[in-house]
Amino acid sequence: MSSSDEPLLEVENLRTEFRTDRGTVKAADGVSFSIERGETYGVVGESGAGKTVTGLSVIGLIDNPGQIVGGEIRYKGRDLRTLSQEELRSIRGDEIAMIFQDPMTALNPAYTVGTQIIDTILTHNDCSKSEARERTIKLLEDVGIPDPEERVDSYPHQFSGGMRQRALIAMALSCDPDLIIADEPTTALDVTIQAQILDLLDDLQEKHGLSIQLITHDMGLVAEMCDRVSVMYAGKKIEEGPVGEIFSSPKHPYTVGLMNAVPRLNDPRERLEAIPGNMPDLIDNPSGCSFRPRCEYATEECKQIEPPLEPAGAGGAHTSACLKLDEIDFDTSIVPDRTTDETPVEGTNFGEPIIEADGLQKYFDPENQSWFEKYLGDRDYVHAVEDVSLTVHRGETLGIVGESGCGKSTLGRVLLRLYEPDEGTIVYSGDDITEMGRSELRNLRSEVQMVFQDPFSSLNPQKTVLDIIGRPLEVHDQVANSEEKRERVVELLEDVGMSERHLNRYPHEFSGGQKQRIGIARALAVEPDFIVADEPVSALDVSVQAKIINMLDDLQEKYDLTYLFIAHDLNVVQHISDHIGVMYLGEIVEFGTVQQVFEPPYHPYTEILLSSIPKHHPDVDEERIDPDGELPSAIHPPSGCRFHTRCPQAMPECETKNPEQRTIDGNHEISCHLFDSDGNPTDEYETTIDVSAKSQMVDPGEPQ
Amino acid sequence: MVYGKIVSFARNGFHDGSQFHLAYKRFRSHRLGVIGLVIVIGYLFFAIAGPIIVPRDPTAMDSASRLAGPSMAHPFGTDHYGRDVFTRTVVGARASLQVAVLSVGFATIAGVTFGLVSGFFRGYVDEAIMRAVDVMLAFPSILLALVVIAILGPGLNRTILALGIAYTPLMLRITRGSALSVREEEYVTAAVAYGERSWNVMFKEMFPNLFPTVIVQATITFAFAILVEAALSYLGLSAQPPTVTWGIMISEGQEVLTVNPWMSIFPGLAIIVTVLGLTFLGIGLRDSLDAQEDGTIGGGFQ
Repeated sequence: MSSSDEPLLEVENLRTEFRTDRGTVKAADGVSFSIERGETYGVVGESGAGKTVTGLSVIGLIDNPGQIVGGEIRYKGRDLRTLSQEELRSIRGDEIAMIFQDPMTALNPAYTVGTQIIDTILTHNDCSKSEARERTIKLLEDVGIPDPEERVDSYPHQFSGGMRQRALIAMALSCDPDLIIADEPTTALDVTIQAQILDLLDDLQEKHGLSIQLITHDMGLVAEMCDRVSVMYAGKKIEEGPVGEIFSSPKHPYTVGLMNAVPRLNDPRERLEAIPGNMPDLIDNPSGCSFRPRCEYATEECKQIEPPLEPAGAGGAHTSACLKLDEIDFDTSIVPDRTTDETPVEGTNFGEPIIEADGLQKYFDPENQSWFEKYLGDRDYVHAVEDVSLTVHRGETLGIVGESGCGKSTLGRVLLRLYEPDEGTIVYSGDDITEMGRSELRNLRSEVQMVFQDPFSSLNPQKTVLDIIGRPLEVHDQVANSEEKRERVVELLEDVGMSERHLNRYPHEFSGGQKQRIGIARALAVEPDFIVADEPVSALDVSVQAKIINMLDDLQEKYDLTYLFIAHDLNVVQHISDHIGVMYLGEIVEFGTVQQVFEPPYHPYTEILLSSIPKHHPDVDEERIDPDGELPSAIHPPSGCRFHTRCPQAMPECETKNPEQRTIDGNHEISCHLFDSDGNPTDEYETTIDVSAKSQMVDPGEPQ
Repeated sequence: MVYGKIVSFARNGFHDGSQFHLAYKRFRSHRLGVIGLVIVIGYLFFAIAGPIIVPRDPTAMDSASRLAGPSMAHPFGTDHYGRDVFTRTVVGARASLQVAVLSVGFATIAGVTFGLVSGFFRGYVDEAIMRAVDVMLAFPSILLALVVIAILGPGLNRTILALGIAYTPLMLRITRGSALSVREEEYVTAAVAYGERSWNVMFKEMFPNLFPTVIVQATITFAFAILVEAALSYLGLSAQPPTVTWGIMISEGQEVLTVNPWMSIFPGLAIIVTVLGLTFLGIGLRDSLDAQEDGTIGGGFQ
C-alpha cells in the first residue's frame, strides 16, 4: 500500500472557494504542503489567511457554500477527494482526528464526556461497550484527568475549560489516529493551562508517534511545538521551512513583519513595528503578490507577477514566495532584543496620585443560585475582588495581569464605579467617588473612561459612527449643535487614524482593528484623564495589535492620559506598562515596576505566569514550571494563601495563614510567606527561571 | 416622548447599510413573508376604509332575500334578516382591528417598558416585576380576559383592556429576556460609563437592538388578539349588536347553520385568512430580522 518513506499527508495545489453574494472567496488558493510521520507541522497566519479552511479541507469538512474546487489531498497515498462519504467517514476520527478551538462548544452538553468518547470508539472499532468504556477511562487517565473512573460519567459543564480540552484530546486519540489536526487548540485557554495542554500534546506525540498539524496565529506556539512551519497570507502559502530557520532568518517581508509585531519580554519598549494596512479581501485579491499593498519593498514588478515559492537558504527545505528574495537584507529588518546593559527608564517620576483605592471588595451572587436560596437560605458569594488597594499616578500606565476569572475586569469596573464596591474607598483626584451622588457621578464620567475588550460587542450595531462617538459629547453638553458635534467627531476619528468618510457607516462595516479605534475615539471624546482599558488588544491579530498599542502610546503622550491596562498577555502588559499588578483570585499578589516584577525575586505565581509564556525562538532552551491544576472557584476560595493549592513551593503555614504584604525594595510588594518581614527571601525560596535567558534571541547572523 | 425617539430611530434605521436596510432586502425575497404582508395590507385596507367603500349599509335588512346563498347581488349571501354578509364581513374587520391594535399596542408599550426596566436594573427590581408576571402568567390569557369582563361587564373597550392586560406579561417576558442578553453587551456598559441616563440607555442603546424581537412578538400576538376577540364576541362577551364583528356573525350563523352555512363560513374564512396572513408576516419578519428562535413566539392561549 504505502511505503514508509512517503509523507503521511500530501496536499497539492488545494483550492477551496466559498460562493457568497458578493463574489467568490478564495479561502485557500493553491496551497501545497506535506506532513511527515511523527512531525509537528505548523500553519501560522492572521485571521482570514485561510489556515482553518486548509485544515477542514483535508478531512472534507467544508460545508456549503464552500467547495473544494481543485487540487489533490493524498493521505497514505490515497486521494481523499476521490473517496466516497462512507470511506471518508471511516478515515475521519479513525486515521485523522481534529481538535477544535473552543472546548466550551465542542462537547455536546446533553451527554456525559465518557459517552461521547465511547461512541467515537464504537463507531470505528468492533468492540464491546465495556471494552470501549475501559479504553475511555485509560484515555482520560492518559490526558491527565484526575479520577478518570469517576469523571468518565461527568457532564461537560462539570469540567473546566482545560479539562474539556483534555477530554477532546482524549476523544481525538480514541481511535489511534496517525494525524491530528489541531485548530488553535489553546487560544481559548489561559497561559498556564495552555502550557499544560502543550506539554500534554508533546508527550502524546512521542508516545503514539503522531503527526500533528498545528494551526495557530501565535508565533510563540510555533516556536514551542513545531518542526516545520508554513506561513499563510490571503489564502496562499508564502513561506515554509524548518522552524529554526524561519525564526532565525525569515525570508519573506510578511513573516518578518509578523515577528516584529509581537511584543516580547525584554523588547526595546519603543514603538512596535506594525505592518501597515490590512489583509486584502479574499474576493478581489490584488494581482501579482497579495502582500504587495502592505510591503515596503514592493515595486512595479510585484504588481505584475505572482511570486512562486522558491528555495531560500541552504538545504532547499526553506522556501519563500517573494520576488525580492535576493534583494532584501532580511537580517537587518528583524528588530533585535534589548541588550541587557540597557536599563529602561525607572517609572518613578510620575505626577500626583490620580486614583487611590483602599480595601476594595466586590462580591457577586453566584449565577446558579435561585432567589429562594439567595434570600432565605445560606448565601454564597463569588469573591471577585478581595481587599485590593492600589494607587495610580497621573501620566503612568498601570498594568493588571492574571488568568481569566481572577477579578481583573471586575476591579477595573469597580474603580470607575460601574460596579458598586461592597467595601473600600476609591479616591479620584482627592474626591471619594464611592460617596458620590448621581449627578456628581455623571460629571465624573467625563473624566474617567473605559475601552473594552470585544470590538464586536462594544459598539451599538444600530448606530452610526457619528452617533457612537458623538453621544458622550451630547451627554456632557460639550457641543452646542450638530455641526459642532460633527467637527469634533471628525477630529477624534483623525486622532485614532480614521477619517471623515467613516462618519455615517455602521459598526459591521469595519474590521476588528477599526472597531477598536472607534471604541477608543468614543472613550477620548469627553477628554478624560483616566482610562481603564480592559483587554483592548486581546481580540485582535498581532499586526493590528501592534498598531493599537502604538496608538495608545501616542495618545497617552498627546493628551497626558493615565491608563489602567488590564490584560492576560504578559508580553503586551510589560510593553505598555510602567507598573504592574499581578492578580490572583481577587487579590494583588505582586506589585512593582515592570523591571521589579519581571526579575527575581518573584511571587511564585508570577514566576509560573512568566514561565508559561511560549518562548519566542525555537532554539531557546528553558524549563517550565507548571502550576498544579486550575484556578479554584472564587465562591469558596482556598483558606490561608489563596495560591497554596497550586503553588509548587507551598508550605504548611500557607494553608492556614493569609500572607502579609511584604515590601521587597522601594515599592516592590509581594504577598507571600517565602519572604520575611524585611522583605528578604527566606531559605525556602528558590527561583528557577530567568526571563532574560527566555527571551534572548539567537543572533540572526549566526547559523545553527 | 420616548416613543417620539423611536420615530427618529426608524428614520435613521433605514440608512444604507443599516441592519434594517439589510433586513428589508432579506424580507423582499421571503415569499411567505411577502404573502403575509399582502394579506395584512388587504386586511388593514378593508378594516380602515371598509365602511366607506361598501355599497350597502351592513344593518340594512332585506326581508325579500333572507338566508340566501352566494349570488351576484350578494357574493357571500345574506343572513336571517336579509343583511348582506359580504358587507358585514368587510365592516366586521374594523372591530377586530380596533381590539387588536389597541390591546397589542397597550401590551407592547407596557411590556417593553417594564421588560427594559427589569432587564436593565436586574436584581430586586427584576425580581419584583418577574414575580408579578409569574402570577399573571399562572392564568391562561383568555381566562384573565374573562375575569376582567366578568368584573367590568362586556363591551368592546373592556375587551381591549382585558386583552391588553392579558398580553402584557408575554411582551414583558420576551423583552426582558432579550434585554438581559443585550445588557451584557459592552456598548451598554460603555453608555453607562460615559454618563448616559438610565432611561436613555434603555431606550436609545438597548431598545433598537430589541426591536426585532419585539416587532415579531407583537405581530404574532396581534394574530392571537384577533382570534381571542372573535372568541369573546362569539360568546357575547365583547361588542354587542348592532356592532358588527366576525365573532357575532359566526354565533348568529350558528343558529341557522344547517339552512345557510355561508353565514358562518365567510366570517370564519376572514378570521383564518387574517390570522394566517399575520402569522406569515411574523415568520417573514423573524427570518429577515434574525430574531431569536427560542420558541417564545406564539402561545397566546397558554
